[in-house]
Amino acid sequence: MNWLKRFFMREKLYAELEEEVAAHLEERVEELVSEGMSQEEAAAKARKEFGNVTAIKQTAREAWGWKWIEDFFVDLRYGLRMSRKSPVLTLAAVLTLALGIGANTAIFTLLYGLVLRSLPAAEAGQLAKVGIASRAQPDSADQGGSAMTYHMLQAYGEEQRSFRELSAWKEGDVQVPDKQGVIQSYTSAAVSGNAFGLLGLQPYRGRLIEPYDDVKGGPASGWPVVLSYGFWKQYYGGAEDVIGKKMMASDVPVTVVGVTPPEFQGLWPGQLVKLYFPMQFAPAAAKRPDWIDEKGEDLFVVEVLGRLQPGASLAQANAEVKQMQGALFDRFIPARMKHDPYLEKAYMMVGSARTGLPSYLIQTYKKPLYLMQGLVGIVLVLCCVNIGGLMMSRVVARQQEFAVRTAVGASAKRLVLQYLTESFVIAVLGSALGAAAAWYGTDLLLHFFRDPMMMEPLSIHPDKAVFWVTLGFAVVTTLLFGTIPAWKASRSDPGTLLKSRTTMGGRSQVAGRMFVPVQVGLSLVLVALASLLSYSLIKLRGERAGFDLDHVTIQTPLIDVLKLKPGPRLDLYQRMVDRLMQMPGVDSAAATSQTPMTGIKITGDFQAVGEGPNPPEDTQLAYNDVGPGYFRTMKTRILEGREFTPQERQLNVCILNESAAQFFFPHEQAIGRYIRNKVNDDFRQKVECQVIGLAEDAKFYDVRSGPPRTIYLPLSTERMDKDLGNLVFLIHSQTKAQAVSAFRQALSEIAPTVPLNIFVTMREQMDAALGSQELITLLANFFAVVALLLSALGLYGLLSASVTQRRGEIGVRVALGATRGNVLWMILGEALVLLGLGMVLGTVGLFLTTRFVTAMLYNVSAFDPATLTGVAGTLLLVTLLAAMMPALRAAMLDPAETLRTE
Amino acid sequence: MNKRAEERDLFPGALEMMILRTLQRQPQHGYALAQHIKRMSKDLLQIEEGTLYPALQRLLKAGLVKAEWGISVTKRRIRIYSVTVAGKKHLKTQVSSFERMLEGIQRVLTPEES
Repeated sequence: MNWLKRFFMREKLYAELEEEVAAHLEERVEELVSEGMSQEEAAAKARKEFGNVTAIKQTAREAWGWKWIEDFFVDLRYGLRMSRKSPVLTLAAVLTLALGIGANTAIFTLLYGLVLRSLPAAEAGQLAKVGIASRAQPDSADQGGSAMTYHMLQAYGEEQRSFRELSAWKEGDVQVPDKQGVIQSYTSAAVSGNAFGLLGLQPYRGRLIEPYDDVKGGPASGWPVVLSYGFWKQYYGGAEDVIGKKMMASDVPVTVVGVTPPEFQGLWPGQLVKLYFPMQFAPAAAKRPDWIDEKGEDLFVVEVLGRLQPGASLAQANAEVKQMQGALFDRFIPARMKHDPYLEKAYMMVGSARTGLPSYLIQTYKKPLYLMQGLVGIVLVLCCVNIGGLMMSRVVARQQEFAVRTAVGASAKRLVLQYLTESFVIAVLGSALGAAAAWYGTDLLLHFFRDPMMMEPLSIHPDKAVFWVTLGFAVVTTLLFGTIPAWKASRSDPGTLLKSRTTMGGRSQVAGRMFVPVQVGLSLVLVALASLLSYSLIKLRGERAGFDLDHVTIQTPLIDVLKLKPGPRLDLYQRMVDRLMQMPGVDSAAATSQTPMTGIKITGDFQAVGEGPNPPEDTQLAYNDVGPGYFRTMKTRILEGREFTPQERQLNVCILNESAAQFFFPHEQAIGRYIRNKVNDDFRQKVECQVIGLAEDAKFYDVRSGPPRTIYLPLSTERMDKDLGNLVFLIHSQTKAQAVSAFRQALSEIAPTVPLNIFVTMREQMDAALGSQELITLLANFFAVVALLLSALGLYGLLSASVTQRRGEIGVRVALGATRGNVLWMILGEALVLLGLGMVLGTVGLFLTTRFVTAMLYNVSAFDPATLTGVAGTLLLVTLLAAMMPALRAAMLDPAETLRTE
Repeated sequence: MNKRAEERDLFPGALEMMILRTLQRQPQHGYALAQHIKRMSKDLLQIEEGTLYPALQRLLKAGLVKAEWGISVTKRRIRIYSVTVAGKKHLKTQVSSFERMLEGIQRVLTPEES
């Protein structure tokens, strides 16, 4: 019988002991009676011989070592009873804690789901990513380096000794017609045949991709596809007979062979991969033979996931790859790319892939998530301090009780434990409520985690790990807010306390004083952070971007389903634009290959043609292929020259923005000059163009970075052929609804079979790009208000108690000639001293925390004097408001009355 | 409070030793055990009968004795204790270390013979 089993049987064990002891006494009495004693005498003697029956039974029970658990349950019941006795206080504490823990659980759920959770693979700690980082781009190492080429991986795999196995992963989109025949785009991954085996993943249905699937041209039975659990449910309704079903993926027939388990959401956290294909399928379906090139001149498209040899470390693998990189680069970087700035300073690296491969979402949201966790962490501490203050007042109110218990023999340890248990009751109630709120809150938060390219929202829910962490929060908070009051309770001195209730002489300080400055300090930190972030957000949103954000609607219909040649495709786009322009409510329309604010940096190498040496500096320009009317539609001003016309479909004309013109032709006329490019993988067509227009500077990649030097090229047949996919329509109208209905109408007239994409406005796209900034600012503001409220309540409670406690003293003062004004100022002064202390603490806190937010600030210093003055003013106002009531009450005290009651 | 009660039986473990020795000779129930120890010690040891029970619970928990419910000659439901294999082993080491200790004490206490 083990310990736990016995514990649950302890009632039986105790009953047996009772019976045994009773039998013992009976037997002794019988014997003594049989020796001639009277019943009473015998009973007395038997008990005398036996000793203290109750104490012995107690000792016998304690022999089992369960006392502490039993005490805990007694304390628990007592705690619940005490909580019910002061419902308002308990409710306030529970709600405060629910807020703190709910916020922490919600954020932690996201942090865990996106950043911390291990892949559901066997021994995920052994998984590592091999990538190419570059000193030309310092953050490339944080992301584990970029992709390598297929043949490079093969060569590396054969020579290296650190990994047991290496696998190739490539993310991409495939187009699959839905039940109505409308083409939908899904995120997919092409994987080498050993990829799932390496992970140690078991199929949910059927089988996963196997080595024999991954052959050039596909296996004899045709290309296989493995569905994600989500896709299986969504597309096939979870049908059991899905294995063997045929479907079309990017116009290639494929056969379903299996389903991945539900816990596997792909290798890129936050990216919901729906379909898995063999690696060799990717170049076949995308018609990109250069992805796996027979001559070994593959593009850098393969992400590498490996499983380290047992016992091999990342450091070892890194040391090994350092030895090999020279030879690998020589062999696999094609001559035309040797001088690519990224590759020139490239080095190979191995990083942990326990949590998966880096994804857009993680790179964007990792730091903000940690920041948010820190923010809500401060809030939790504040909540604990606040509850600590509340509890303290309860301890003071119950000091009589504690004194009595000490007097009758309770040890300090028992009192502390009992008090902590009471606190734990509140912590558990608060946690439960908080966790429930977090369950719903997570979805709300996820709303802000937008990837403008993402088709469907993320869904992350708390799981086991989150449960444990929440429980951890409960325990930690118990200790945080329960310890000091518990200590105070254990120090209740029966001698002085039982004697009298009131203390006339001696200014005994109200317990919980030290909590207030801490609250004020934490509030100051939160309010200051919130102000700085809000200020940044307002600036980010308000600043002129170089285009109209509010009236431009974007739509990217999947015109590629029509499979038109470049010329007719451009004609179709132009017909659409012309038709849109005739629609009511539409001011202007245009097609473009890129919209600003996508967060993606696209640059090419350009230089000025003609006299003088070319500027030796960086000649990387942002570029965009834009159709006629782009500038008119975006409301980006043309400063000189003109826009492109529908007839201009060659790369022989271009428009520069001011910065680019200034760079190439400082203090000279740019119009009429020539620009040419360096052909490389980023930009594969030859450009030699005459500058026909000069546009104002406009932001391009995202809101944070200023306008880059930009070159605008016309929509060319040449680039339409290879590199431009579906173009984006821009529609300028008063309302989004007008744009939507106009577009639907135009499309139904001109190309009714083309599937529509979602309509978004430029503003919405930018807000998506600002998602984390917005969320953090919103949270910071929300919690700043909460913090102010909590501090005000804390201060109010403290001062009220103080005034009550000092009634006698105040009475004496007034009797001795203090004016009402004096009394008022005495109390306000007390508040101001606490505020001052809090401000000092808060400034220190702010000093420690601002460096974490500087990355999110925009055009405002972390110690912006105006902001800090505002914060201080706000705190002063709140303090005065909270202090005014108690102070007035003190001032109104009638000395005669108070002195009488003393 | 409880500690004091234990300390009264000479030294920690003495009572357990006597219980184990008695039970090794013959399994019996608590009352008989108490009477036996009292008789054998000729009431020299001031043991409260009750202190036997915490000791028995400790031995049960440690697995040194086991207990079975039976019916006594006086038709009473009683719990009969017997020594387990582990208990026998424990007793042996306890007794030998006790004897060594006793010998040591005796040597010190006995006046040196010249």
